Amino acid sequence: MCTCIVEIKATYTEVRRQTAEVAQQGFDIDKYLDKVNVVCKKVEQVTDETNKLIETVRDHFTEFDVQETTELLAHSTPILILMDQLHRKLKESPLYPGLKTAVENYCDCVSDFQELCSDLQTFNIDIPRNEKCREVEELLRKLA
Amino acid sequence: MLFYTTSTFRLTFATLMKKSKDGYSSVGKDICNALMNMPDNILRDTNDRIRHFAEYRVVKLRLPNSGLHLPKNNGFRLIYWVSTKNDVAVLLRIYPKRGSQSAVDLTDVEYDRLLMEMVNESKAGLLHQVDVSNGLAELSQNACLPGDK
Repeated sequence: MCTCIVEIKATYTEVRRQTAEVAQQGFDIDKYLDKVNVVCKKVEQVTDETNKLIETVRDHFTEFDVQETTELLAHSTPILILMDQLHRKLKESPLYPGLKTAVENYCDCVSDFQELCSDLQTFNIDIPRNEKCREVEELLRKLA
Repeated sequence: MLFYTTSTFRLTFATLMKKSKDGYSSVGKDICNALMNMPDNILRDTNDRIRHFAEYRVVKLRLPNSGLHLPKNNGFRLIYWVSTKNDVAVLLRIYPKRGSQSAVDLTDVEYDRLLMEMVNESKAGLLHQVDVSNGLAELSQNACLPGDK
């Protein structure tokens, strides 16, 4: 369970302890926390899965050929669009205050995934196709 | 391994070192920690490669930012060129992933410019040799790479 939920529950317990009026309000908070909990777990799951994907691609970074890179980038574009949509939905959601940490981690993970796709594109597609890079290549070989 | 720097690296490094309020001043320590703790074969064959040829590699190393307690995915990016034949590496550029000085990923044209600058500065003997065990202190200011000696 993420830290934000623990913090919210601790605050909630404190509030319930104080007044009967707050106890009534606590019923609503209970439902709110349950929802936050469910969504938070889902967000963490997506983040974990994406991190696993990033690690796997990084481990085999230099093994992809142009065709595989092109396919991977073609698949990653709709994933990144969906990730962006999910991020916007989460930020607009009334549950957002309870999900902040999970959403920030998720956001970092999306940014990592974007960077990885960009690096793969540079490594396998842009640089091999760039004529100027090939001119520099010869000079760099002499320097080495 | 001998380490050299280009003028672009020195400029971006000095800018970050001045930005202590933004939490970038740990950059020197973070670079040195990473480079000192990496064996030479890992420095050459890390998976964060941008160019891979028999004679050399261009690497984009992900570093943590200890000043802001950021892990390596949110810390700094160090671009360096490393020879596979000689024990030499040239630090080309450093930039943070987060904050006021954060930069977007470099394009192939920008990598090309950085490498061309390195070639020209090596020919002109304008590379600076630095000591990674001493906070990137300069050892000499008129260095060139083995191929230009």
